[in-house]
Amino acid sequence: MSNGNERNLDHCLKCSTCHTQCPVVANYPDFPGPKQLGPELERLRLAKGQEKPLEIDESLALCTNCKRCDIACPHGVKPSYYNMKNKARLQGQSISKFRDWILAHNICWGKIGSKIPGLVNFALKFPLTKSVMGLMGIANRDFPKYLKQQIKIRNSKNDKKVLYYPGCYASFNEPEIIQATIDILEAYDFQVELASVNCCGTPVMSNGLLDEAREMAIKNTGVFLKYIREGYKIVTTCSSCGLTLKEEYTNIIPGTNSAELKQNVWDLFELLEEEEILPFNENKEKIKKAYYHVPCHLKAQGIGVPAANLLKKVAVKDLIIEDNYCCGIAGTFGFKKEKYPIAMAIGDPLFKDIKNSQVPFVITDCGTCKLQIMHGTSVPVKHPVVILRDYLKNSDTEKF
Amino acid sequence: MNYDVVVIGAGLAGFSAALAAVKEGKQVLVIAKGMGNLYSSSGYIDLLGYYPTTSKKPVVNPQKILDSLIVENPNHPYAKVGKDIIIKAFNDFLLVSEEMGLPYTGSLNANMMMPTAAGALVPTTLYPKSTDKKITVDREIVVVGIKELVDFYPAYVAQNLELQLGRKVKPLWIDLQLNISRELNSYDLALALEKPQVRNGLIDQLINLNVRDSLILIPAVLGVTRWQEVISNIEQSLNCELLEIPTLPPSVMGYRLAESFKLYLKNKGVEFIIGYPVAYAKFLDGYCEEISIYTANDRLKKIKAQNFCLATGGILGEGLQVLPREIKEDVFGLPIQVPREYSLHDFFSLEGQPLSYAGVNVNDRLQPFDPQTKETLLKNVFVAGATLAGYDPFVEKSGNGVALTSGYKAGLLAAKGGILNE
Ligand SMILES: Cc1cc2nc3c(=O)[nH]c(=O)nc-3n(C[C@H](O)[C@H](O)[C@H](O)COP(=O)(O)OP(=O)(O)OC[C@H]3O[C@@H](n4cnc5c(N)ncnc54)[C@H](O)[C@@H]3O)c2cc1C
Ligand code: SF4
Ligand code: SF4
Repeated sequence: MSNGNERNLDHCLKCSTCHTQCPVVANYPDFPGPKQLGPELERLRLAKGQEKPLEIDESLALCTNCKRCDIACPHGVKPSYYNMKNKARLQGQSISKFRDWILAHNICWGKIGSKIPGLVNFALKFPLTKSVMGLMGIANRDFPKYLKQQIKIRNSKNDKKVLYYPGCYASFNEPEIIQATIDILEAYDFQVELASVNCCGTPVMSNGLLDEAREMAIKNTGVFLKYIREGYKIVTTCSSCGLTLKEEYTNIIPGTNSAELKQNVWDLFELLEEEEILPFNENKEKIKKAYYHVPCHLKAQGIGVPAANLLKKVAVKDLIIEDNYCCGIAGTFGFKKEKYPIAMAIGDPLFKDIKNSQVPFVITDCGTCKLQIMHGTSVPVKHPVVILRDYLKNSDTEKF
Repeated sequence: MNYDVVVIGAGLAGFSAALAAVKEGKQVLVIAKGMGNLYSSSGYIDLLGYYPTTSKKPVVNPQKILDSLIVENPNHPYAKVGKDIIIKAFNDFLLVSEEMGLPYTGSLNANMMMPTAAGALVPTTLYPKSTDKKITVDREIVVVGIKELVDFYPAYVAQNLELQLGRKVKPLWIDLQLNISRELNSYDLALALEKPQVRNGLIDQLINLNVRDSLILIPAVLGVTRWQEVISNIEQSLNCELLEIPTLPPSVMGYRLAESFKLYLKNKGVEFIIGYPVAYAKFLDGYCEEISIYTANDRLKKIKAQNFCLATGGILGEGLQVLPREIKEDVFGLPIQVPREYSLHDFFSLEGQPLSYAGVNVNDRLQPFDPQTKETLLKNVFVAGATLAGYDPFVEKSGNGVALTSGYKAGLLAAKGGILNE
């Protein structure tokens, strides 16, 4: 891993500010928290030699990698970096290895599912399948519905070129996000191409399968760089994919390639914010009220809330913007049986806040946040592009 | 991104600036490298505890002393803020604290003596209403330590208090029996005590220890967000008074103030980007046009504003970087006078440390200026909090007071383009 974050270890003044921001600490007192697991133990690990995991390292599995600790630290330390790194060393000994493997490889499930959606939807609803998954340690909850893909791209040439990387969730569960994104980008006069790369590696990485994540990162980076060198900007609509390309790749495959890639990745709305035009219909009646949940991995990008700002401007009159809570799902975390109760407890204040605010629906950028919020509140959840697409000036693009 | 006011720093000074600016109807963004110092501090707002700094007697009436301080120390931040705005900032904060759901109380005319975790009695000016309990009351005084909490020794606290109060103070221990193997801190205990069964365990033990009707001093662990419920539940069950004592970091009382204030500002429409330092600033003709932060992918994000508040917390907040022969102001590269000596041999010298006095020099509008040429360096930048020169918050006990009041003035000035017509 990169050395950049290693050097920050000594900046830790033990103020524990990070500890007070950790959603796992707040719900599961046995979790040692970012200060202890990160900078404090790292010193011990370094002193003892990296090989032998410490007993307390077991609890690393509970870190959701939400990065709330990193951004809170007044002294530039990134506790989550040490957690991710050390989680990977532990992976070999995990009992729940098979289950972690399945969840880390959601792309495989996704691929099978999107080819035969009926079958997978049926299989996942079927009680037997659910209890088999229960045996395997996957918490009994609804899996995303898989849809078939049919995407339309205009294919017009332009100087402003975007390679759109939709990520697993949109690709396999909600291709509507892909179409809406393309429609919006085209309205902003971008030439759009759809990236044919694999999973970014977030789930693989957060399950501690670092070698595999590295391989995926190298492969994907190669593809991205080809486009970048032809003048394309890489655009994501999933906050976690975005953060992975922007930050994690430089940790797991440090070097000039990942550094070149990271500089050329944009969150869709981060990019649109820099544009002069606003191709939306301002006369269309606005949605009265909605709730926008800021995904942890958007918050950690340091770009503010560009999607929410645009939604406020063109589509929603009263938009409640909330970034106080982690939804608890943390990628594949909440799909694990032993972590399910913690995931639900973490999400509980968010669920309550949503229910109290009596909104017709919730908006968020992250697919897994969406699943968790729907699971916890039964309130519908939409991606911002799906809403904004309907406000485009020439909303004559055929609806998906 | 384009804002009316951008506040740099998420400590009390930054929050106070954001509050003043948003109340003027401005669009405000707070950016900061990380959270401010409140999470480590007591949550008390000290206007002025000792004056002159070498005095061993605490200030009784800070508002009265302010007049002489302002005359005698024209470079002190309070002299730059001015008495009227100091009073206004304090009164406004008291009102806003009610709206935040964390009501504060206190008077500028009378400091309150509060016990510390070492059993010293120190002066403070504003404090949460829940700590508005006079230690001089007739009730029996007990100090309760919690076995799970390191660094709080009731016997030590009690002994020191006895010396100062001249009356008996009883030390006691309780054990929350949480059965958690790792080392716990005040925040962890505060979370635990929000659970009724843990709280009832504590109440039972206190009943067995015969402390009904007394004034109980206890480390500040009585709830994180549900402190009201926790405190009143225990007080009612024992017919006692509970006085929380601020602990070592993480300080729950500081946490409550930081989180309530931040949430209040968010609800008023203030935006926040926390986690990334300012990387560079662009100037034109004595104005700052734009600043940039490096975001997660090291790409610069440009942020434009009409006016800026600089509230980066001085040396401890890392807004000032101390190098061997130079002190650097991190955001705008403002000149800092380097003291001849960084620190005195006597670390606890009551004169204060030369390094503490170092900071950004400002004029009466809190704009940075060059003390030699008397020239205003940046006309749309207003400086607040520990980054200001001319005081030592530790010896005079004025840290949060300076942060609150200078932040308030900086925010007002930023909202009004540098001119206050009172
Ligand atoms: C342990 C401790 C206990 C204290 N207890 C008390 C007390 O009981 N009562 C009292 O009145 N005072 C107390 N003080 C003093 C008081 O806390 C400080 O004087 C006051 O908090 C300063 O507030 P501030 O807003 O200026 O700075 P801070 O709270 O330090 O905030 C600085 C902010 O600026 C940000 N920042 C810094 N550099 C950059 C950059 N380059 N780019 C972007 N952002 C940046 C930081 O991330 C942070 O958000 C205490 C201090 C300490 C250290
Ligand atoms: S990592 Fe940062 S926030 Fe956490 S204890 Fe260390 S200095 Fe404080
Ligand atoms: S990344 Fe999130 S869950 Fe992990 S230690 Fe940090 S705050 Fe806690």
